[in-house]
Amino acid sequence: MKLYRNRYIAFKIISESVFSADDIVHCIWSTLLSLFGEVGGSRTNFWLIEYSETGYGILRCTHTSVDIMKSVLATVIELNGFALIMYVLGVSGTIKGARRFFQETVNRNRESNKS
Amino acid sequence: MTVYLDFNVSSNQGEGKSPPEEMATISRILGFSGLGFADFSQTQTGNYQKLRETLSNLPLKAYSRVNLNFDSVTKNNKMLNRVRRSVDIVAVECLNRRVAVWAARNTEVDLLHFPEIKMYKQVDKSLVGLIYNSENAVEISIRPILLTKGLTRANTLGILRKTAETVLREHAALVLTSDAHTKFELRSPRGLVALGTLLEISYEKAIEAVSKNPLKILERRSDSN
Repeated sequence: MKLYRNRYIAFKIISESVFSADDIVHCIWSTLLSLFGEVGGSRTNFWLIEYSETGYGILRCTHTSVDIMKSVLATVIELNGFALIMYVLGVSGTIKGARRFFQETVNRNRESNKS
Repeated sequence: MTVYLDFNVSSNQGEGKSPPEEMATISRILGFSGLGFADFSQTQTGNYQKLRETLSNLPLKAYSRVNLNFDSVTKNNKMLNRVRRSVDIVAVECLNRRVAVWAARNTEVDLLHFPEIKMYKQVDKSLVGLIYNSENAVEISIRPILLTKGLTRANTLGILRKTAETVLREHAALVLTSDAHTKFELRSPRGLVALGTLLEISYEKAIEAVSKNPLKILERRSDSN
């Protein structure tokens, strides 16, 4: 039996600038290390699975470190001199399930723009 | 559907830098149903109506908030009597112990706010007991966590964690706010909850701090009016 199970966190970035995947990875790691240290960071099994420059991304972590990664994303405040908000769209046990949150967000934004 | 409220934001109508429209648009995307604008603190009481009209066309509900920031109980009391009927939320900046105790006892006050981290050290068992009896709430703003790093942030987290523990142990109400001065300092409700878990606030209590407790404050005000 697996010691840990993975979770996939779908997130979105709101910012006035566009960032590369490397920037995002570097930013998340530095915040993770700052808040939880090297030992805490090693336990998360963090990996950036997908990221597009529209600001949507999926990251992987262990099932026990979901809250840690959510707090890390909430703590990020600036990158390369630009302010940003990273917020969680949803958490899923599969990458396919995480991708569904993107479509739900797009549909929700379309409906609110119509109203 | 859960209603989430952020009771402390400042737009460029007050101390903040972003227009209220942008803050409201982003808050709505993030999942909030209402924002408490502290801009009313910087506005003369005669101009409240004008400010309210400016905030009335936002894509989510805008609540008016005043921070009483005198270091004397007498001045705070005078101001409270003047503004209580005109605004939705009254918060007292607990600049010293006397003001904190007065605010904790006063049922006309909604929130106890601590503008600097060191002021949170005033929150102890006796103060929280008074807050519990008068059904007020302690406000913890997450902005200091975002704006500090390293040792300063570690100290900040320690003080806020102790404050949250004291408040929750005495079963008083806690409200989590962003205290955002720009649109990029806003956080989603789940983001506020996640930052609450950094302070060892349980998930359920953190959700209450951004939904149920702010709603209770609004209901209490509408009942008394």
